[in-house]
Amino acid sequence: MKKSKSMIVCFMAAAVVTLLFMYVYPIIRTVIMSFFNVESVTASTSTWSWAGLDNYTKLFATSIFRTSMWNLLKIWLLGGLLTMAFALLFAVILTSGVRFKNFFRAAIYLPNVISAVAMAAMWRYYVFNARFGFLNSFLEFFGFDAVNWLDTTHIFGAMLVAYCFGSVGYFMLIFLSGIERIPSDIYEAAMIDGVGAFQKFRYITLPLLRGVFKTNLTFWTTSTLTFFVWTRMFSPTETENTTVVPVVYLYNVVFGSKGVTDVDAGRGAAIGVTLAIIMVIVYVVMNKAIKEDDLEF
Amino acid sequence: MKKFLALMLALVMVFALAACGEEPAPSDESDAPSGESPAGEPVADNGSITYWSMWNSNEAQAQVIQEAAEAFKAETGITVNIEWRGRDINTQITAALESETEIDLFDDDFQRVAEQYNDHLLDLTSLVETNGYAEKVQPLFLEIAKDYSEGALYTIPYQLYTSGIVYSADAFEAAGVDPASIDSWDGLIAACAALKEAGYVPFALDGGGSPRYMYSYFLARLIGQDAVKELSMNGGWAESEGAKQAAEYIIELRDNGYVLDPIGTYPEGEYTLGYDETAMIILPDYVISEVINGTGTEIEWGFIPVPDLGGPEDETYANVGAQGFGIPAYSEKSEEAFQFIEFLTTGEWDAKLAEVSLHSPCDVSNETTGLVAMIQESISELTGYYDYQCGSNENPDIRLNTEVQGLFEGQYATADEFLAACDSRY
Repeated sequence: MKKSKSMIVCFMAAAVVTLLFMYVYPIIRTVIMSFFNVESVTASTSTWSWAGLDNYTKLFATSIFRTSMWNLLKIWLLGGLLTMAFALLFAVILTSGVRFKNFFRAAIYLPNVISAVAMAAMWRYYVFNARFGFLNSFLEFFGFDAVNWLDTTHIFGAMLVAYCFGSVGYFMLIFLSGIERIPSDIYEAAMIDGVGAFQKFRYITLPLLRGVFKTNLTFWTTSTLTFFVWTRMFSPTETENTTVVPVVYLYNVVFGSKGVTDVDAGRGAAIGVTLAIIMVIVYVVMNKAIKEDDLEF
Repeated sequence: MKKFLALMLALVMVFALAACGEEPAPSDESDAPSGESPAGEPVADNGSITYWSMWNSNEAQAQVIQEAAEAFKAETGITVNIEWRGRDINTQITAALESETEIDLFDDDFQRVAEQYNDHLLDLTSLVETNGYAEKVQPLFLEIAKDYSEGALYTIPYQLYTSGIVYSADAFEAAGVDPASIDSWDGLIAACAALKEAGYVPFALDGGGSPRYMYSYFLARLIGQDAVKELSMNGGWAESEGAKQAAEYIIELRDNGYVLDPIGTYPEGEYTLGYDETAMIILPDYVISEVINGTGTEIEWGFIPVPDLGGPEDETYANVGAQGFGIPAYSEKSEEAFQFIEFLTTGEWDAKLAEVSLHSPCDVSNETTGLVAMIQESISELTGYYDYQCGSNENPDIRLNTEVQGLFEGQYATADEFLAACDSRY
C-alpha cells in the first residue's frame, strides 16, 4: 500500500495529542510542582512560590510518611514473596498435566475480575470478622481461641494476605505463559536422562523463566506503589499507622482528611515524584540483577 | 477521497474521546406542576441556579432537598439545577472553583468550606445581615464558621450535630441507671458497673476512630482543647499529667471489662448497640443513624454530654459539626442562591431535614420531639466547641490512632508505656 504522509499524520494525531496532554504534560507539571509551594492541584502558576527541595525534606522528616514507606516496603517484599511463590507453584502445577487445568486456571484467576472494593469487603466481613468470620469459626471448630484479625497487631497481615490472594491469579497467568513457551523437548531429554521433577524445575524451568520473573517483578512493583483501595477498605474512616501507604498519605495531603483542612499539592507532587523515582530505581536494579535471557529457545 | 476519509476518521476519534467524559446525573424532573405556585397560580420564570450537592441522589437528605427545590421553584419561580456529586465533591470542588465553573452554591463539611475553599467564596456576612438570618438560626454554629475564617462568614451551616455519650435508654432502664447520675468520673464508673451487672458491655467501640475520640474527649475535659493541640503538635505526652490521667481512665475501663473486647471493626463495633449488647458510645450523634440503618434496631436512644472531669472546659463544651453551604465569589446569582439556602435551613424544610437525618434543626423556632429534641437542647446549652478529635488532629502528620487503640486492646500495661509510644512518633 502506498504510504501517504497526511494519512499517517491524521491517524497518529489523536494518539499523539492525547499522549502529550494526558500523560506528558501532567508528568512535567507534577515534577515542577514538587519544587514549589502550591495549595491545590489546579492552582494557577501565578500563585506558586519557589520551595526548592523543601517539599522533599519536609516529606522525609514526616513520621507518617516514613511509616507509610515502611509499610510499602513490607507489602512489596513480604507480599511479593508470598504472591510470586504461590503464583509460580500454581503455574507449575497447572503445566504438569493436571486434570481440569482450564477450570483451575479460571478459578485462580477469578479474584482478578472482581472489584478490589468487593474483595476487600468480603475479606473484612466474611473471613476476618471477629464475631462471625470464617477464619474464627474454623479455629473454634478445632478448639482454638478466636483471634481479632483486625486489631492493631493483626490488621496489616490480614490486609496483606487479602491483597496477595487477589493478585496471585494474575501473576500465575504470566508464569504459565512463560512455562508453556519452554520447548517440551528439553523436558523430554531431561526425562530420558533420568532427571527428577524437582531437578527439572530447578535446572530447566527456573533459569528459563528469568525474563518472566523480571516482567512479574516490574508489574508487582507498579501495583504495590499504587496501593490504595485496600488501605481505604481496611481503615475506612481514618488513616492508621498500621495500614497507611504513600498514596493514601498523598491523597490526604492533596485533598485533606476528616478534620484536617490544610492541603499541600506541592508536597503531594513530591510524594508522586518520589514513588516514580523508586519505580525507576527498582527497574534499573532488576535489569542489572536479572540478566537478559542468554539462551534462545 | 483518502484525505477526506482520514479527516472523517480523525474527527470520529476526537468526538469519541469527548464523549468519554461523563456528566453526573442531573436532578430528576420535578413532579410538581412547572410554573405554578402551591395555590395553583402561575409563577414567573425567574431563571435558575446551579447547586453542586455533596449528597447522593438516593440518600434521604437528597430526597428532601429535591422536594425543597421543587417547592422553592413553585414559590419563587427560580429553578434549582442540582448535580448530585456525592462525598467526592471535596476532590472536585477546588478545581471547579478555580476554573469558575458555573456553580451558584455547593455544600461539603462546613469546616472544609470555611477553611479550605474560602479563597474562592463570597463573604456571606452582608447577605446574612440583610436578611436577618442570624436571628433565625443556632448562633453558635455561625460563630464557629466565623472562627474558622478569621471573622468572615464563608459558609452557612446546616444538619448540625453535636457529640457526647449516645446511649441505649433501654439498657440504662434495664440496669437502673439514671443518665443524670453520669456527671463525673465516679458517676460514669458507677453506671458502667451497673450496666455490666445487668449483662451489658458498657461502652461500644469500633476500629474507625472511636477509641481515639473517647480518649481525646477525656483528655480535653482534663486539660482543655488548646493544651491537647499543643501536645498533638509538639509531643511531650509523657510529661503531661492530663495525658497520663486520661490513659489511666481508659485502663480502668479496660481492666474492669467496661469496653468492648475485642474492639469491633467499623461499623460493626457500633452496631453492638443495635444488637443490645453494649449500652453507650462516645461519638458524634450521627452514630445513631448509622446504627439504625445498619441494624434496623428499634431501641430507645438517649444523649448526654461527656461529664466534666475537672478541667477548664466543662460539659457545655462539645465537638460539634455540620454540613455547610458556600457560594462562589464569581456567582452572579448569589442572592438567589442565598435565598435557596435560607429556604432550606429554616422553617418546614429545615425541620424535614432534621427529621430524616436525626440532627438538630438550624432554625431555633423549629420545635422537635424525642431524641432530636434532646440533641437540639444539648446544642442550645453549649458555650464552646471542640474540633473533631478534640484537638488531637491538630498535627495532620502525627496520627496516634494505633497507639490509642492499642491502649484499649491491652498492648500497654501502664499509662507510661502508652505515653512513651505516643512520643516515639515525634
